[in-house]
Amino acid sequence: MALEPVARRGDAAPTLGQGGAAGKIGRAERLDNAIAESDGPIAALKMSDADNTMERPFMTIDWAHFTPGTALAGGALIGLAAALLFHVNGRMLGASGLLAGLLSPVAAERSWRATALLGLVLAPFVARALFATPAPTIAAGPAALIAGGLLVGFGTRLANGCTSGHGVCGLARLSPRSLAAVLVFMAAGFATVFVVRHGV
Amino acid sequence: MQRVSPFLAGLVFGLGLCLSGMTDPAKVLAFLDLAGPWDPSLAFVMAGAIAVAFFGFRFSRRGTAPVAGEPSTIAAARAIDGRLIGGSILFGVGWGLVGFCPGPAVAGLGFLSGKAALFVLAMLAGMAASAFSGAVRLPGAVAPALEDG
Repeated sequence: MALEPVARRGDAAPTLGQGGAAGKIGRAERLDNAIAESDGPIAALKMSDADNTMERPFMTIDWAHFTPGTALAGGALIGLAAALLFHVNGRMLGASGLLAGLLSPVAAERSWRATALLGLVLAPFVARALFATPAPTIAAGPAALIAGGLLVGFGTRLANGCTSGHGVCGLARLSPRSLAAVLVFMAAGFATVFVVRHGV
Repeated sequence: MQRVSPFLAGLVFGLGLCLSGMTDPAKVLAFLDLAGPWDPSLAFVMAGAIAVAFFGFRFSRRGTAPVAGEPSTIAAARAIDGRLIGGSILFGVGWGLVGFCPGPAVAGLGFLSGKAALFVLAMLAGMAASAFSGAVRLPGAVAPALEDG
């Protein structure tokens, strides 16, 4: 049970995931043995115990990985960046807009976005000098990466914004349009992960 | 300042993503997986960011914002249309497949991640496709962009 979140999140080495599965098989075998050796009522008790551990309530918070403090602090930095770019340059901070701007034929549209993206790319180097910054764990294979990238690129252009543009800047401006976008892409994200991880 | 500010904004944005753990697709997927052991961190990141940006934007509007630079490109109120909804659905599906949205994916380049680089290339291809298909205009391609983000 303790190993399960790690295995589910796919952020551990495959050996850990296998370890988790092996652990579960081991426990099941032990239970079978216990049931075989024990008398009726005890066996029934063990069975119900097993049922309880197998069935998980729909929503359980993963307290081991939940990081409210750094999440709020990091979020505040993101808000600060958005406020800075708007105050000085009158622009909305949106990562999809920055990236798409690189494809613009107008040099002035490309240049400031390129400098912003440069800052974004250099951030992990600075971050690692300042605080513990684990490398990203990307479970997706090449096919999913390509499909996901195409969908994210095409979709964010169609919707004119992503998590930062609609999710942060748009909601901070109390834009109904952005609220609609956020509700829809969140719902699509929840649904996709549910299908991929839990099947239908 | 006008030239340095986009760089600083990108850097601080990236630092925020790193500090909050949002550069890690596994953590993002742990938020999107409501049926698994759920990590609500992403909601706290958004709450912190929206709160600071909300007051930051109000502060800027108080004066004759923006202090410097080109005219503001804050989006005019526009309809909630099929493109917004359809685009957001496509984006959400891609986000759920990998756990990357555009900001963390670009920051992933700074982690020297080949997978992030592949995702960013595919994202650029998707953006180019949307422009060539005539579905959307790229910022500055024809008219000044009305940008949400």
